[in-house]
Amino acid sequence: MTGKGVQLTTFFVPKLKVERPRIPAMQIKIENLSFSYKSPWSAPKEVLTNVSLTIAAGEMLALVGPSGSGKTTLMQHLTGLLKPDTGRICVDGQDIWQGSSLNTLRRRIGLVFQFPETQLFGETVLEDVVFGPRNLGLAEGEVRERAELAMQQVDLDVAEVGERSPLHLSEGERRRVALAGVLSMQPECLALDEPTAGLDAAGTRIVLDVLRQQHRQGRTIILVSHDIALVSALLHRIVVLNDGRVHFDGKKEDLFKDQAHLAAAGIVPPKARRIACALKRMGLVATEELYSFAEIKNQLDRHRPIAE
Amino acid sequence: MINVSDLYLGYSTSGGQRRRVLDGINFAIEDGERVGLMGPNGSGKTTFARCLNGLLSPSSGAVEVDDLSTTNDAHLPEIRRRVGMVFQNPENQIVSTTVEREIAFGLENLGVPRAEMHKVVADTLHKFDLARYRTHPPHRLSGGEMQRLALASVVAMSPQTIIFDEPSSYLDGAGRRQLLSLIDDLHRDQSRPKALTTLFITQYPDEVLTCDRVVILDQGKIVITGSPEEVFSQVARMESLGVDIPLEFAVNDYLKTTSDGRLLLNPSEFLPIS
Repeated sequence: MTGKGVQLTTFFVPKLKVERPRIPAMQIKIENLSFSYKSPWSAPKEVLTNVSLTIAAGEMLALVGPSGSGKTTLMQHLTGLLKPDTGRICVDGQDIWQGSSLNTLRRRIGLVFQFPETQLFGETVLEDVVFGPRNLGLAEGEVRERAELAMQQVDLDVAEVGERSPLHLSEGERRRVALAGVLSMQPECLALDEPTAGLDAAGTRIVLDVLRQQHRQGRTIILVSHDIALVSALLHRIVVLNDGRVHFDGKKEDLFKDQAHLAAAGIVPPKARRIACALKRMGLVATEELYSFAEIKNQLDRHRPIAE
Repeated sequence: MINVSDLYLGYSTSGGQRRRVLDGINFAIEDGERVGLMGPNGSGKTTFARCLNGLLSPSSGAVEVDDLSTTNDAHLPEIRRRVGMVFQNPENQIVSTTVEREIAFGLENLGVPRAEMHKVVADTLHKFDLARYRTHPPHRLSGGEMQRLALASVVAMSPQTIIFDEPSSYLDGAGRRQLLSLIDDLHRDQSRPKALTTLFITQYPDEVLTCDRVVILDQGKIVITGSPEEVFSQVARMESLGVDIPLEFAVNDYLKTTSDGRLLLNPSEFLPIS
């Protein structure tokens, strides 16, 4: 590890280059994947059973399900941190365990683990954020540019916090530093495990804004979460894992229509939708398919009588 | 009851400045009361909670648990028996090698006679639906089960008050609903000589809707206090503080400002499903 400061003193260039949009290229296809953890103490337990899933380039989807349903395990398969017992994962048609290097794959797919702030190790915030791009072997100028951009994207001021120790930041800020560390690698796909867990309202909003913005830039976003209200406010396609199997894969509207399905997976419909149902009964909105305050306001506006 | 008067707590930052984490708090919680505590990250919630059972000592001011002052070291064991804590991450408070031993740990430390201890452990295992995991190592439990074990170990010591410091952040929806309904049961427990007191810290406004009182902390000060209805009706204020409010209150506020407000949601319809 280099010393504190790491010639980053010339870092504070206020003008930032906007990241150019990229053409999304990455298609991820999971085919009949099964996996069990092997333990010397107990019989192997199958955690994923025959999971098949196709994720198109630039798509944003959520992987939801109760604790122990296999969400995190599936996510760890994406970059070859775990190897399927049977079945395979193909990226752009190529089995990730055949031929091409997993290192390359790990640059293309950025994994953000639960509570990633616990993995910060740099003495300063910047040291942590530049670690990834520097490891890519990029020129120092580009490393700096990427780190600055990433910090700007997570709403952290380089001049203000760049030289501070991550230990002196709040939990929400540390989470964003960790996120910036992954963004600075500019992966084509981001897979995030409960990225908003434990954050307050403001912190959650910033993280969700980052995800929307990354999605707009063409990145594939896989959001692993147990928070059905959060994901249904953010995106359309929901994959429900239950007991290691794909229990549902489709549009959220279809998911919430099927009460039996929901109960079986232990999912309570999001409050926004329950409120929308009540508003519909009151004749104030026309549909119960509303998943956020913004959508509810929008519907209320549309159905308000023009004059008294 | 717990009584907090003029509580200040500060520390020196690396830059040599003094930072006040708690900035003059006056607060009392009655026996049997159920209080929710919210506030943005960094507002001092956890620090405040840790002052209530003497894990942290005030820079100035006083914290008294039934007239026992937390600044008197001799009182601390008794204060901690009366005020139990459940933390965000159960892994940080679980110390034993089996579920059963974890529940026995606190009782052993209190010097509870063996026969009685066995009875309390058995009852607690049963009450918290952990009996089938009696001999399991705690780390093999799921997150929800582990948090249940953390709570069970605290309850076994029969504290008058339990402080929950964001106990639900690590839990999924089902785990969260289960924890909340367990707390409901504890409050209703008729076998207790006095009703349980709880202070519940959370980022999720829906989780404090069943509290008697909600307190909002900002920059080390109590800035709002009232019933859930009174607090969450202050929509603009809460927004400026960066504290989430339950969606039904936000919708009602919007209905009031955009129409005559004759048709409003009934918040009691949207209490957490358990």
